[in-house]
Amino acid sequence: MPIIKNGQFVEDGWVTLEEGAAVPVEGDVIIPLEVALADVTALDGRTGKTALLISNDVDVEDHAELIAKADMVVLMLPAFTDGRAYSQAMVLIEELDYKNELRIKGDVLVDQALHMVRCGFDSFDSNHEIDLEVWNKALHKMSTTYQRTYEGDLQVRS
Amino acid sequence: MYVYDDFDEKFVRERAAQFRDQVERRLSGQLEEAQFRPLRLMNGVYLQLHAYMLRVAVPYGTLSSRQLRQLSMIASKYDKGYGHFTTRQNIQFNWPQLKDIPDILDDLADVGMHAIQTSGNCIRNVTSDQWSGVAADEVADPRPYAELMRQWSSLHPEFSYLPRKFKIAITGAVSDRAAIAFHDIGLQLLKNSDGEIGFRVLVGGGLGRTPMVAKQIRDFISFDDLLPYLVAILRAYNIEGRRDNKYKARIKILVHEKGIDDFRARVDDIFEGLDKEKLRAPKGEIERISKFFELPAYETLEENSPELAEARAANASFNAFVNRNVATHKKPGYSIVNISLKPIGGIPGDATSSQMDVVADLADQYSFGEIRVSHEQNLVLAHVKQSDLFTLWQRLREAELETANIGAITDMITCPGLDYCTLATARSIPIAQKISEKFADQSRQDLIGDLKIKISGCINACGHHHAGHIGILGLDKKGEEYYQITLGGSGDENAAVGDILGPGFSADEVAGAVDVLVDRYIELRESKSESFLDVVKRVGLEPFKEALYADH
Repeated sequence: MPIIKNGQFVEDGWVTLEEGAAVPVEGDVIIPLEVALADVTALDGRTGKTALLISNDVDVEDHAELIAKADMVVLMLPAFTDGRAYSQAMVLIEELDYKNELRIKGDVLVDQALHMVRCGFDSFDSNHEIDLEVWNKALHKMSTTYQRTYEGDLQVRS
Repeated sequence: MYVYDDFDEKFVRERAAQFRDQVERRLSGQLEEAQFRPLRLMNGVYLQLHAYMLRVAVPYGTLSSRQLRQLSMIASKYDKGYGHFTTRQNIQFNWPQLKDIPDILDDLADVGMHAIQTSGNCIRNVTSDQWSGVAADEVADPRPYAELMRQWSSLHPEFSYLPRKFKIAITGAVSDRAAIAFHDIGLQLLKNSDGEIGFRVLVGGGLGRTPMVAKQIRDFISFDDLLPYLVAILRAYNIEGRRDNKYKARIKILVHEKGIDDFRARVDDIFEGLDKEKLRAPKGEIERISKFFELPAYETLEENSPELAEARAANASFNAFVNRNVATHKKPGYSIVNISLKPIGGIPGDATSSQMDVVADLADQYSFGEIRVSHEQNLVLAHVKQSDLFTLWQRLREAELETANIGAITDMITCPGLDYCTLATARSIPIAQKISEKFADQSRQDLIGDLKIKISGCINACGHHHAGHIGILGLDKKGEEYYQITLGGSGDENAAVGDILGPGFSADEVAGAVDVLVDRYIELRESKSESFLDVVKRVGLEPFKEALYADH
């Protein structure tokens, strides 16, 4: 499935590390957090970019050091009704000062897209076939908000 | 009361349009029911036994006469001519068509109302004391803070997919009429020794299958820190709350399993790391909101109206109404009028369109155009001149709204039960009706005094049975409805969960069992001023068990 970024489908240069495979030196690779933790030195010697894939039961604050070195963090959304990734994203950005690409992967649907953007996600890897027109429309159904998070173009109550 | 500005109106209109689009996508099949369900719930749309149900938010239970007339219009146009006021101070319509709901939301937006977050695993409508602003025992009016929280919690990007629903209640008074200890977060407004406004914060209360009285997490949090502190609690809950079992997913279970001290430490840790400045209410916002809640232009009146005294002396029914339904107002010469939606033999909390219109008219004529909804499913006119009470009562009588039973045994909280609800295991409404008929006699009700009966049609406890002085829980045993009775629960500042008396009763036996309990209470009490709850506390369950089960 292609990745959505800035309202467009984009070619994803990232490769997800297969289960049991060793961390390669080259290439842009998405590495599960557990694999990265098992061999931290393997990450240091890499020439390609490194992303961390973090499941939604992980306390991201426990892994501040690794996250600080990541070129991308991928948070998991196993079911769209499970909102843990939203808080993980807020902790990453607000507490850990994480500034690189933040991706959400899994049960990503158009009707939650705005919440995701507003929690700081900037790329989307959905299990579903997304209609880009519906996606972009959904992102602009609201132009107002009461919270100051990633408000983008939204008008905030002031 | 609060009136939307352009910003609020735009927000609610956009939200209604967003839902219209979602309904269209659902009706055209683009959206599966599983994907649609949380979206409709977050707009107050349930699928009940026979039809969709729409729950409309009445923020902190405050309505204008214009809003109430619009609810009346909606009830006649899209429903069967009535609505049901709920224990969360909201109103439910039981028979709307899904295709009409976007139009209803537009009609609501026309009067500054919505159905946002009246269901779903998100922050629900913030509830409060129905006597806010006028109660004699109030530290400060909680409604500006409730409105601030309504805005802050609306479509919160981080907290829209919580482990389970999340309910906040706030009171500004010493006597707790908002049952704050049975909420996920309960807030009590306080002033510290410097006169600064702040909040005592309770967390982890709730009813349902695991009833728990909330625990204190902070004795005082300043207003500036209120929203950041709520974020910290919700973030701790969103991250750590259980998602493996929906019956263990409320924050009360997390607080209970972790222990309040560990939970407090976790919340404090998150709180310390927050960018509080960003999370605080915009500067001047609470002052802007508070302006809407300034008290109306009262006249300067005598403490006691001579007209009222005369009318009471001349009319026993009116006198009974004043005794039961009229409460002390903080302004001399004014009173708080509670309108009971519990007529003898009626459906608790229901009001017809024409009754809503009458109450709206009365509010305009006698109470500055404002109406409150109480969590005990009654209505309130909060600013009535004592000298107007008799005329008001006559008008209420014409609309069959004069029942003089506030706080009495027939003023029961009752969930919709198996007559409407898919979750119910037994009917609640017919039980309430039978009890109501049994205790119809006004003099007997007066003799009994304050007694709160609360009835739920299943273990989810929407009828607050755990908090009833007498609680009744409807269950199903091999296809037969039966009812378990608890004693000693309370939803006020001395919150307590009732204890089960013993084996249950059939639908036909419940009202008789309540009768036996009440007779026993009358025998046991030391004076008329010793309430049912006081007696239960003093003597325990045994004398009541003996009375109920001696023959069995």
